[in-house]
Amino acid sequence: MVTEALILTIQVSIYATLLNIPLAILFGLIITRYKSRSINLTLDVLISLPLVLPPVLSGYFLLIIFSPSGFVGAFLDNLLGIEIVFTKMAAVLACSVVSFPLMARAVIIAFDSVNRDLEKIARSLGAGYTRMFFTVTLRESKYGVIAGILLGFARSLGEFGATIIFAGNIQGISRTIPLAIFQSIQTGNDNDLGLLIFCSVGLGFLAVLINYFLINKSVKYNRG
Amino acid sequence: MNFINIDITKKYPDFVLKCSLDFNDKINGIFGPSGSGKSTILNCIAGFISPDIGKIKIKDKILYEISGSNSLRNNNISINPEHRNIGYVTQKSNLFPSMNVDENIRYGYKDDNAIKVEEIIDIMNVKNLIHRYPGELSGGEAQKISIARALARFPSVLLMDEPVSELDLESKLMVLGYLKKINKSFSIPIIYVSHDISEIVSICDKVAIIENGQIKDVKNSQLLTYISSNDSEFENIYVVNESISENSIFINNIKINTLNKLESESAVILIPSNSVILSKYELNNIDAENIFLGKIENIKSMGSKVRVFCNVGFDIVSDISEYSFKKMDLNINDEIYVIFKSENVKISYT
Repeated sequence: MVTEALILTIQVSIYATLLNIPLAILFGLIITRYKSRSINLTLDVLISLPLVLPPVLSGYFLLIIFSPSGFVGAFLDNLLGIEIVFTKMAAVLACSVVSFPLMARAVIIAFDSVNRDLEKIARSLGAGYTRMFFTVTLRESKYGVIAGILLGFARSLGEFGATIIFAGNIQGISRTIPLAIFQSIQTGNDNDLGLLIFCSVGLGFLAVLINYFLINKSVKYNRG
Repeated sequence: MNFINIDITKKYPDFVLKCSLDFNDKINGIFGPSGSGKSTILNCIAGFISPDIGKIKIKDKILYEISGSNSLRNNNISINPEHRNIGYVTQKSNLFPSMNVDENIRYGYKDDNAIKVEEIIDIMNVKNLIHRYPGELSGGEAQKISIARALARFPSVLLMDEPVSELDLESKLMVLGYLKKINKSFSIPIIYVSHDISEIVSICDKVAIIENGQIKDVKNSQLLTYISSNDSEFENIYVVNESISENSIFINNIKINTLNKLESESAVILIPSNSVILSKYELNNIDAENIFLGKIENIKSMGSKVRVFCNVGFDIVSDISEYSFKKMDLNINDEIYVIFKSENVKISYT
């Protein structure tokens, strides 16, 4: 059970992180480079919302949206025959929604710290938007962006509330380490509990440690 | 021949820029105080700011053209910054921090360029720096690389936004010397923006004077003596690329004695205005090696001191006290002896 939960947790967290990366970059670019205050404010509130809402509520909203009677769920079920609720995909989506604000905020800060004059110079040197983004914006903010990605990944590892509501607590499908810990406490399975806690703390500690080093490197890099 | 034609208007809530300028293919200056609209003009030429109305043309290429009439909207032209082929050098060097010098210089390089990167590295004398990262360079070196990077694109014009204002004196003189060299070697016109009159006088052939977003005047830099300047210090700067012999240099074919033997064929010469002495009468036994007879072209009161603009075959400025000025009874067009010691002639090599 422990190995299965560990592998599932890592898998779900990786998928959730991969799902979030392009969205965080897109939101980060719009908020830091687009000059409309109203659009920026709306996006900012939208990004921050899952951070302040109870994860259980985020899970409940996902359940409403993706259940076969929900507007997205009905569309997926009727047209493509895909059911999301209580699947591994649901666990991925739950982790994705809950961890997104942390990743997006870090990416916004990282993009904001890039000297805009460098982007202007790149344009004057013949770089279009795409080349400028990859060779200057992303390259100069890489440590901050990677730190944000890692922070989102770390948050996914510990996700519980939204997952249990939206994906259930099904062994091999949605029982990630936090849910397995909950299950062990409920059933009094002390043998697995110790090992699960060790895995959870170990993974979290490693992710936070790497994040710390990356942020440190990012700060030093930006100071020149 | 006019190489660059600018006729633009840009309105901000608290500021209006109205600029009509024709520049040649030499080094053209835009001089004015901070906030007068100098950098906005450069940003419009580079394509980072869109004027509300107007036209920007370099050689035969229209970079921007927006007419006021709605019926002509379909004929509007606005080329993106990356397609304008303009070199842009800012106050800070703004080198890409994660790229080494070689990568920085090659960033905008095009294979079909008339000039090769190696040529630029050679003329800018930066071969020993190419493997270094921006963090390992001095201010002057970084700005030299920034200029080399802009040159590597072989731009149709080089825009320079106060490129030496953050440099120490030695680096400043070195960079100014290179600009003359670039204009001469590659025939790339330069638009040089500064609020420092001595920089403008030293390198520009033609200067536009801007105040509150309006072009007040366009003059040859030799006539800049008529510009009112509030600078507390004025440095007479001369870029010399020829006629150097032992312990002397020639500015406009006039021999200036220096203290040391010169080490290079090109140099930037600096004579601080407060080390230039004026006399109405010829002095024979005086401890100064440089004595020239010239004419007073203009006089400006600068509070406790008076700035006297003279021409002795080349322009030179002297700052004297108000007391001396009154005692000497100096007037425009008076004949005057301009005196300075050779030890006050500071030399920087490029």
